[in-house]
Amino acid sequence: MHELSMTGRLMQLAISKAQEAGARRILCIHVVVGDSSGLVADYMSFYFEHLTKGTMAEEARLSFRTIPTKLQCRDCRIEYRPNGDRWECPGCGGLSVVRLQGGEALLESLEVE
Amino acid sequence: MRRIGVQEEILSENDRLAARNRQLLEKKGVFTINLMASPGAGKTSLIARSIERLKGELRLAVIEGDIASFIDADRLASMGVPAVQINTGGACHLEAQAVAQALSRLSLEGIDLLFIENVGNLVCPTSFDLGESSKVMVSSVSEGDDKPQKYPAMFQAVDVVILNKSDLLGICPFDRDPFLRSVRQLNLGVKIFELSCLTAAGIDAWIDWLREGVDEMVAIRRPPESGGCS
Repeated sequence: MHELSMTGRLMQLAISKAQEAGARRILCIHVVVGDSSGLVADYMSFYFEHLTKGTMAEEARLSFRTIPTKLQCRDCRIEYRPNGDRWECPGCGGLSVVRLQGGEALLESLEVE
Repeated sequence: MRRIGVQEEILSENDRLAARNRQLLEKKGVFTINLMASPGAGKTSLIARSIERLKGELRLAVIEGDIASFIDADRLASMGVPAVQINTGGACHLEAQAVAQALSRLSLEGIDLLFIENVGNLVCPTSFDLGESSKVMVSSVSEGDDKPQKYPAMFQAVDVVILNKSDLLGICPFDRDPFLRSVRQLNLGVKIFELSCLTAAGIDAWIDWLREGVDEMVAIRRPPESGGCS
């Protein structure tokens, strides 16, 4: 839901890392997004096109690696993938759960020249 | 073409600014609440009730995050506390940078307790640390008892859950016990207050919790005096 501001942050971070490395332009930005991070890749791509205009990332591609959400029930100890947005444990139906992965929002790497 | 490995959180800059806010607020001894909820759950009413109870005893201030209007800030400022408005211009959450700017407009030395009222939303505000001392979420009886199932990440992110509009229990369809059980399952260390901002029932425990928070913040600010050796 907050893709505009996240994409803006991503751009700032990517450009500052590329400049630090003495790059002229950014060709590709590799992002890791957990599927329960609240971020929708399509929306980020949409904002990305607008935000990169006139910057060193103008022609860059935004590449996503999606991490599926994995939860663990503290009571049953089983690890599972949630059913959509429902986090209830398939074993006991409880919500005593820890998210092991799926909340990520990382800039992983850049391709530059 | 060459590849640069980064492996950095997209929100790392926000987190850095939030850490700076936190350091400043601790140095000035300001106990700061980041108040989150869906629209209409009672964030502003809770702040208004808290001001009513604590005005004269503690020095209070409010930072109001709103998408466009000044209605809430005006309401709280009319109660005689400093209120700074952040209009997010459509953004669905507050960020540390906007809070830093708002803090620069307040005399922090003269504040014991600061409420930051986040934008009404149960998803986005969870991702953005503001530098608060404590994250508090308001859920209300009229919203239904399935909020923990629908927004587990929010219920896991907070220190306190307030169940507001307790006067509507028995009127609105709301299964209290399963709601409380789900909240406790999601968040083992959570503190829960059931209250009604309308009738003020249950408000005392919340007010006491705020007082304790302020006392602890004062203790952080003033380290214990050294024991006799000079």
